[in-house]
Amino acid sequence: MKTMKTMKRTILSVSVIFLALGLSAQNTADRIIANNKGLHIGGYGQIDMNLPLSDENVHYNGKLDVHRLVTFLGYNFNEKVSFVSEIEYEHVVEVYVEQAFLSYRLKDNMSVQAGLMLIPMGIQNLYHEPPTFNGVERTNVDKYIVPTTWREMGLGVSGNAEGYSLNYQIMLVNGFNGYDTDGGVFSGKKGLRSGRQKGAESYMTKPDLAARVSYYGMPGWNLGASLYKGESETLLYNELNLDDEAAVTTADSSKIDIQMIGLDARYADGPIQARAQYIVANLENTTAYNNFTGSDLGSVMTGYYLEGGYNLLNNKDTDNELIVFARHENYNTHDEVEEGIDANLAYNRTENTIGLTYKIASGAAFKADYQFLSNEATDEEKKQFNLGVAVWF
Amino acid sequence: MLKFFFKTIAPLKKMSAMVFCFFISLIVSAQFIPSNRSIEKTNTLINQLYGDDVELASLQINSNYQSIKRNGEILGYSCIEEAPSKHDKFEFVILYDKSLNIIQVKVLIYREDYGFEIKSKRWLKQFTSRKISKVQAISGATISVNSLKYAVDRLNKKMRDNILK
Repeated sequence: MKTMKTMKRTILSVSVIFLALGLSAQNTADRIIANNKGLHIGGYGQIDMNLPLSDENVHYNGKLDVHRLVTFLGYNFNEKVSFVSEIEYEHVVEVYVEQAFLSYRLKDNMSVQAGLMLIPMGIQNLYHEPPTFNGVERTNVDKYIVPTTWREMGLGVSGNAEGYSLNYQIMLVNGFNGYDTDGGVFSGKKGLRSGRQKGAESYMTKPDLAARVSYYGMPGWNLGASLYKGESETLLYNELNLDDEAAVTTADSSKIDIQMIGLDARYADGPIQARAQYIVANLENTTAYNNFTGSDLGSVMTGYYLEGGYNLLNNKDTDNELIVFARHENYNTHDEVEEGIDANLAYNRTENTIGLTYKIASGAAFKADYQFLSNEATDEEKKQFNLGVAVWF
Repeated sequence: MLKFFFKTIAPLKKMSAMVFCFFISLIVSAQFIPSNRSIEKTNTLINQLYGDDVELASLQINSNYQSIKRNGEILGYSCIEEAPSKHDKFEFVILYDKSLNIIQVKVLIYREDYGFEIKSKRWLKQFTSRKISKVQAISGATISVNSLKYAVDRLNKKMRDNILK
């Protein structure tokens, strides 16, 4: 008697399990039938430890940080309309929206977007998910020259010219905030970085232009060229009386003209991978800006890096990758300065990095690297050891 | 007590089994439905390769796979399939000759900003001349590259098992 009872219970629970399985499978099937309609969830994270090596007489503490944790939420309303959003926690306590835009596919190879979008400049501002690059930290060219993650509000068109293996992006966005209630925002050390408006009650006078083309027609190669052109924004243009010449002159000296050009190349073949990037930013009106704000902004900022890597597990029977890499990087926010200030040699910074990326799944990696950090103002070289966890799903 | 269980559970059990079978059949039969654009592009491709006097007939294993015939003689096969990219799915077609050698792989619809590089014709040509494992990586498109390689491999095996045996 007792056994029969147990048997029935088992049968019942098994049926319930199968039923549940069937139900969840129905959802999958439904999704397939509805042709990709629905929610997409993902995210990425970078968790790291920076350990500056102590000098003979100075000690430095190490830093351990959940540097960034980003959740991706996307929704396909139908074949043509989709919404993309990324919400970021930086250093655990700061919350940002990294992307939030609606995309409408006009035709097969072309769509328009509106909202908060990534500025297409260089490699890492677009591809900033940690497992996609070597090194625990992002390259500093992509921090001080290209202020990654650089995102602003605007309208864009993107697409593919398939016959030519070209991908393009063109957008009109609000410019950097260069002058607000706290005075001048740009600086010689950090360049334009502090001026990012990030979609948080952004303001503008007229839109700036950002564009990028990339060519992927040669197997193994991915070549890109990016352009950004426009003016920074200033609060002094708000409620400006255009008949008041003195006020107009003052307001004009609180903004700068920006032209940034980027060239980049990525290469992969078998175990070998390499990438290189060059960025130059030409800034105009910096004399007036510096005189007015007391800042020390340079008129030309440049940066580049060259990186080579080799996957030691290439011919082994595994999908994992153990990449040993070396990178040489230089960035200078005072490459040229206009009258009134002297070039600060400490802003001409060089970083050499060697390290390992151990990809234990296509979207997960352990990273370790060792950096030699120097600048032109001193012969001293600082060394730093970094360890990191990188995920993307 | 036992009687009660028996009475209530027995029909329930049958019902769950039926529901279960229904769902299973749903999954098994749920091959994906290619978008119209994919079908149009595939037909254009077939016409470019063989002219427009060929007869197309769906294969039994999958109605997205079809044989290409002229006067009853098989010239080749075309198979539309889908594979995942990072957060979405893309559609592609493989054209085979009658001995199941790949003549062409084409990405018909790609929906994401990541990994679009796999649409490159020169890159896709490798599937006609190299072993799948030797197909080169693309910087910035690793996920879609691996996904397509896996899908082509699976489709090759499926076709071989069903056509050549």
